[in-house]
Amino acid sequence: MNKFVKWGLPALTLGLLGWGWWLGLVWAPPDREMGDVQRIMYVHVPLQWMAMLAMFLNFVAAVTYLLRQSWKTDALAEAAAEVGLMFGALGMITGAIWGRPTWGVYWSWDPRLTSEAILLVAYTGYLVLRRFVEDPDKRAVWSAVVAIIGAVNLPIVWFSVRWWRSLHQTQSSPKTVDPQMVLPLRVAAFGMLGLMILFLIHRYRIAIAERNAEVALPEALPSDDPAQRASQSSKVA
Amino acid sequence: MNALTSLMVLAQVGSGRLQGGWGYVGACYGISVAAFVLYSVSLWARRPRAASDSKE
Amino acid sequence: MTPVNRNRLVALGALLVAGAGLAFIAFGNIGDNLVYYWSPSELLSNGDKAYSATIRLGGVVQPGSIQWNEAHTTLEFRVADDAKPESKSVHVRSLETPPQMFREKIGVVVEGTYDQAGVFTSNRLMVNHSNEYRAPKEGEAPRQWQDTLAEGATTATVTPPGAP
Repeated sequence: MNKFVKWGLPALTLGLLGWGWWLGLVWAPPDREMGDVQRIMYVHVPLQWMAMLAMFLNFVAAVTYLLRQSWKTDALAEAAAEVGLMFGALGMITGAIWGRPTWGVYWSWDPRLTSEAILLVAYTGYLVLRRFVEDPDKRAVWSAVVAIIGAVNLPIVWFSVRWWRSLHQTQSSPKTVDPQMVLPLRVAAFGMLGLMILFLIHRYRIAIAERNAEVALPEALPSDDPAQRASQSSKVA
Repeated sequence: MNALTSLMVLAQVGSGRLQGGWGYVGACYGISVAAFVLYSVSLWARRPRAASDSKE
Repeated sequence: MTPVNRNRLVALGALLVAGAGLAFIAFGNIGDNLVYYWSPSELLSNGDKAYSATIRLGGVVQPGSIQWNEAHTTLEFRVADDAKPESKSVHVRSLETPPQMFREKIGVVVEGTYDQAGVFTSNRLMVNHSNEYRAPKEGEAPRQWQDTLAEGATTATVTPPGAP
């Protein structure tokens, strides 16, 4: 498993992302109306999908933490929020750049863009909250509550283009996208998924190491991994 | 002359087709790759020092 | 109460709050109050309210309505509810260069003011793209489109296609 994370997954990710982007930038035809600018789709859309996925993972981890306390889910929630926020911010930047030539503006307060902005602010707040609370136990519970309430934004962002009138178009489907464009999008999305998992794993390791260092008293929480905790806490003590 | 100008303007805007724009495409991919590299570096800088490979 | 039970209650409470918030936004009438743009028929039916405030008008550029003035500084067109020739429409005047994708029958959102004379003066003209992405049809070459259209007129003012 460790070998796969260290070598296999990065290689697979780079391969898929490189292949997908090559397909998108070179192999795929330009759009009839948008021309070559449409190629931004192969980076913007996977970024947004992975942002949503990571933030959903943050929600699942937060709920799981509250139901069954474990530093693992708390660390996973922290990792997923940070990675999701990074992907979401990039998605918003690439979207704004795409908006300039097509819509004529970088930004407009349409429902999709506004709800996305609120979403990013919410997850920024979540990460700031985590920094400010010293007690790991309190931090985990409070941030889990913020994560659950913040997750309301996810369906709102997703459905905003259907519920309300917006400048942003509604979701495309394979029916509205030519097959030569669907293939690069799929490949790039799987590459982006690999990248997200890779980032998540490494960020999770950082978070779990921090938790273990913070929790000086082994009996503070039921341990997930007694051997590891014992070694860590003895080091701290 | 007038016909010429109107043709030029039409060529620029009335066509309903986007021309060029590779700069925007390059900016999107460039910013994303740069951010991925920076984030990877930050993850590496924050890596757990003690026995990082024996985790999991 | 044990911390575990307390946390479960916290989880339940947070989920309830989240669910209620979502339901409020999804099924409440927020959409009626937060309207990103008005359609031409809505604008015409409450004309008095629409005067002088900055509003957005969204619709489709009516076929055959695009007109430039002599110097090509002012663009006038009609924004209609849909592409049918008989649908209601509003006269729009714009002083800025529209996005390249601007054409007849494309969706647009304009920001500006509507006056008593029935003219909507736009400060901002945005084009909205559909969710369709298609390869060029047989014989169409998007990168050369401009050259065929402006045959002989391609001068420095025309942005060169950036394709390598």
